Amino acid sequence: MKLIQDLPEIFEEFKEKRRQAFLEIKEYKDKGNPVVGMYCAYFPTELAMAVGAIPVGLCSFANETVSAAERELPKSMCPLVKSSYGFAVEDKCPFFHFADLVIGETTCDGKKKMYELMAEFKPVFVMELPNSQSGKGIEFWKQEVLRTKEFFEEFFHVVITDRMIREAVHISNEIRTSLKKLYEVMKLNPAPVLGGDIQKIVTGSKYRFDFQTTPEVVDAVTAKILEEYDKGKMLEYRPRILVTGCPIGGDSMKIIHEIENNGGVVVAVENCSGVKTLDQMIDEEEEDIYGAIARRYLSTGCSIMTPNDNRIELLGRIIDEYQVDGVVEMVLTGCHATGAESIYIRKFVNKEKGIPYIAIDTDYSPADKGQIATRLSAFIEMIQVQDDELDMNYCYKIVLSGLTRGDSINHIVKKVRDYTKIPICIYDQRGRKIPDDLYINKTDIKSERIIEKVLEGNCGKIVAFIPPEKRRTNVLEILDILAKSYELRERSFCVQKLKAQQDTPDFLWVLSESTQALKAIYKGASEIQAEMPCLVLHDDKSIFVSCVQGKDGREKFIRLCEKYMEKVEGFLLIGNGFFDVHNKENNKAMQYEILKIIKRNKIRKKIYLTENYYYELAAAHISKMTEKGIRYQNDLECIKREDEEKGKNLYETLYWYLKMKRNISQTAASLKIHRNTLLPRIARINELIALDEKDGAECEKLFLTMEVGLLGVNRIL
Amino acid sequence: MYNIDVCYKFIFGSMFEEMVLDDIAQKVYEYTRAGVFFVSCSGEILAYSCGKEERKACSLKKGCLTFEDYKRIFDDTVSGKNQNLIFPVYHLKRVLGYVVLTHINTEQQTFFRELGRILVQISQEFFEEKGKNTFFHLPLKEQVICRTIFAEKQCHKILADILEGNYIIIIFPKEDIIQKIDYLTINQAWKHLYVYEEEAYITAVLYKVNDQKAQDVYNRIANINLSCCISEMFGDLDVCRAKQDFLKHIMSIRRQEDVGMKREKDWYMEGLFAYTSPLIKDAGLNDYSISCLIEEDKKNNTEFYHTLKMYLLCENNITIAAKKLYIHRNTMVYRLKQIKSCIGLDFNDGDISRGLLAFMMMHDAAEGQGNKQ
Repeated sequence: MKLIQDLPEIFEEFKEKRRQAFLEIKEYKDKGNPVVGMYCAYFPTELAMAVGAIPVGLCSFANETVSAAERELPKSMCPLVKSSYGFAVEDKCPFFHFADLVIGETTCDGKKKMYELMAEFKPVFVMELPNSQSGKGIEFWKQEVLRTKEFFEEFFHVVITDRMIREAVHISNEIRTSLKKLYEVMKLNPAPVLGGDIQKIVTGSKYRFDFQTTPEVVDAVTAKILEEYDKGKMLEYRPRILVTGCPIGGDSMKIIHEIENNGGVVVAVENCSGVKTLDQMIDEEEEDIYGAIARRYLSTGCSIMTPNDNRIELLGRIIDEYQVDGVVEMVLTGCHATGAESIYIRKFVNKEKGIPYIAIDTDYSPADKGQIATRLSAFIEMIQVQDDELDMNYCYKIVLSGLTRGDSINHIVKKVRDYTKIPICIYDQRGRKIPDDLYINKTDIKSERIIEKVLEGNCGKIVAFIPPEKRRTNVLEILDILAKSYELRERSFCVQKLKAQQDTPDFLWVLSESTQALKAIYKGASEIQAEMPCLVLHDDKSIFVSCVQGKDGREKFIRLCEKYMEKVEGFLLIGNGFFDVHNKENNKAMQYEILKIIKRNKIRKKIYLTENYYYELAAAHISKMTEKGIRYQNDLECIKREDEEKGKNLYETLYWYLKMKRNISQTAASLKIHRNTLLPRIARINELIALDEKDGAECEKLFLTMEVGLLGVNRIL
Repeated sequence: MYNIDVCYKFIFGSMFEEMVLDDIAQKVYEYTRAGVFFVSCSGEILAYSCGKEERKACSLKKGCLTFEDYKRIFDDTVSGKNQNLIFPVYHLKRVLGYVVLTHINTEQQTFFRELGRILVQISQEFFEEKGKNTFFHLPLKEQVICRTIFAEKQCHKILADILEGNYIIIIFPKEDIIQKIDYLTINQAWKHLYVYEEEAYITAVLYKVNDQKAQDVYNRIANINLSCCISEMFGDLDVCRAKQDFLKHIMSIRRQEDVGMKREKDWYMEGLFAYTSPLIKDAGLNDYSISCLIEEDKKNNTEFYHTLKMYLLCENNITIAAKKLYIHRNTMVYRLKQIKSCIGLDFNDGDISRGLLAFMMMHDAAEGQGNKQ
């Protein structure tokens, strides 16, 4: 699915989705679809989907209904509870109005009491949530899930079959997966879009009741964002902020807005409205599907859980994966669990992750907007100040000057290290440290403050330790610069090495009529690399080979060619090794002459070698360069005359007899005649030209003349 | 009426031009409408100017006098068949060249004779310069005949009457200045000959040779003891050019032990393989096994290369090869064993042995061409 609109329009469309949903929910109701209202991330929405109901989040983030709630609820209560209750009693939430049933959980005390009050005017089913994510807790929660399932069956008069619940699980997993992928675009550095815009999509998608199409729509938005990022559409470098704490939405979005209005970018929202509910999927392969549902939902790291290790684990992961520079925790006034837990969160973020942390205590009132803005602006500035001590442009200057001066990479890394005070070193592909004087103590190594970047082509890695006072993003940027300079240096060295190799003898040509064969050899040799000559593949179905190490090197190369030609069609002609690169083109032309000679006969082999064609090559060359008149033909003339006059085959017999070096048996075999047929012919030849009286040199002379003459005839023909 | 003084004037003016003779010829033609040709004693046309019809002559396209044009211009002039005037240019009783005036106005003979004399004087210096590296100062006709023999593809038809068969060609390299190549010396060996002089070689074409006389010729040339290359007897004049080229290739192979006459049939193989030198020199044809053998010989002062070559030339016959090398059979066997371990090839295999021999012949031909005596 390709989106036609621009991203800003898409974001606004999703932002308006909740408002549009107010009308849509009525339509669904009119069609007979039940509606189940929910407040909490612990409720398994799959149960509602399985009975054909629409699970919808009830309004709970607006300040306007707080005062209505405060008529009955204590003022000190958390604004989320007050807003939720206020919407309910005022009937200002359309979803609440149309909901057939409201699901509650025994999360915090405020909510527990709210559900009790709500039950007076709306059917409410409360799930009993354990306070621990232990084995016992999971087992207890599973029973609650089953109890809820049975209640739904009775309430909605629908039997939830295994297929129905699994279908619902599958759809909700798909939706979670697509939203998670959307969130993950914020791992890019610099960030592609504002976190607020991502939040619009995530929130808006919860109000799409056509669940089947939601993943496709969200995936299309993700693809669009990535497509534009590839074209260079991205934000400038901003401090990357993780927002955590109480659920964010509606009026509490002021936190996200103020962060992004003051120069930061919210790369992740760890709250229930964000990544927390998208991190884990339900295991669809699990036989005990309700157990899987229970495990997945209970793993949500809410501050009402004790201990809340899952939250710490998730936070740590997000900080690393999203390259977070600072953490902002929103604590709603009156949320004691989150407020108390923020002590642990601060410790974890500062000490273990080495990044700044701030907690904002607020409610839904706009009164503290200014104060929040001031505090967040100072927070972001503080993050930037640390970075401003480090002039990245100067780092670029150090590296570029080093490269153009021809400084060693050792020297460049040392200079960068001295300026930035960031411990960095490069490990080349042999594991050697450059520079070799870097020492990082073991505790630091264990602390997840070490970052590595693998270099291109697996030629090593670059490693840095993030000092507590340094921004992670800056360290990554420096790593990136040094990695690229190392790769540039290596590439330039390789290009020079390759050029030098191409001029290093011995040389030889490989010719073929099959491009596939040549590519196979080229690829094979490139993969081996070590101790292999240098190959250059030409467009005219040839390979020029240099750095051949003499006879042994050529033989090694021939064996390689034999190996790769086993599975490939066609044949190769491997030339002789020559020493002078000026002979290159003439040698190639000579190899083509040999190729013509080979093609004149039947192609039987996969590998042909030049040295097997010296004679034919010489004869062909002589035939080309000389005229008939100079050839010593007196003896041959009388043989030919005899053949013409008497219809004998003496000329051909003589040819093979000389070719077989006057061996009777081999000559007979070549002519495919009996020895007894051959002997009289030889006798007659001797009568005519006294062949047996001629010595070897004379015979070679005759044979060469015949061979050259034959080639001359073939050329004319 | 032509005025000789006018000619003096423009001839003088032409002396300052870059191409003096061309300018003079041009101006003379423009003034007199007579064709003007400056012909060297070797038949080369140094400069000319003439009418449109005359410009179609073959000689002018080739830049040297053809036999037909020679007969037309020179023989017919002598016999009075045309209105041409030929003025030989002498120096110390030697003819350096000719000034030829064609299509002259016969009523102005006196003028043209005077003009011819002036042109002879002017052109003398140029003819001297042209002929300064000439060994033999042979008659023009002879030079034209020889040029026809070696330049024309089908000269037999034209010259068969003059040069009756059979023929033998001998070439002498000019650079061997230590040897005094004298016309009379060659003439002593055989009186029916034409001599053709080129920049680097002197070629003698012997005609009216027969089977009985041929051997006599070889003996006499051998006795002269000049460094030369001599062909076998042949009957077709059209083959002269190819033969000369072949002999030049044989001649280009120089080895220290080579002195005196090289006979075509004795150097036939080397001559053919001399044509393959570009494969070694320009294309870098090389054999690792043979290179190993040569290295071995250099290092240990052995003769394995020569031994192998002789063995292959003797059709892999140990006895015959040993005899030719003047070594004992056992020595031959030992050497062959060493050679085999050095090159790692089975040189008793027919194809391998022929290929190796071919490479060695090519290698030696290229090496020979690289040597100088």
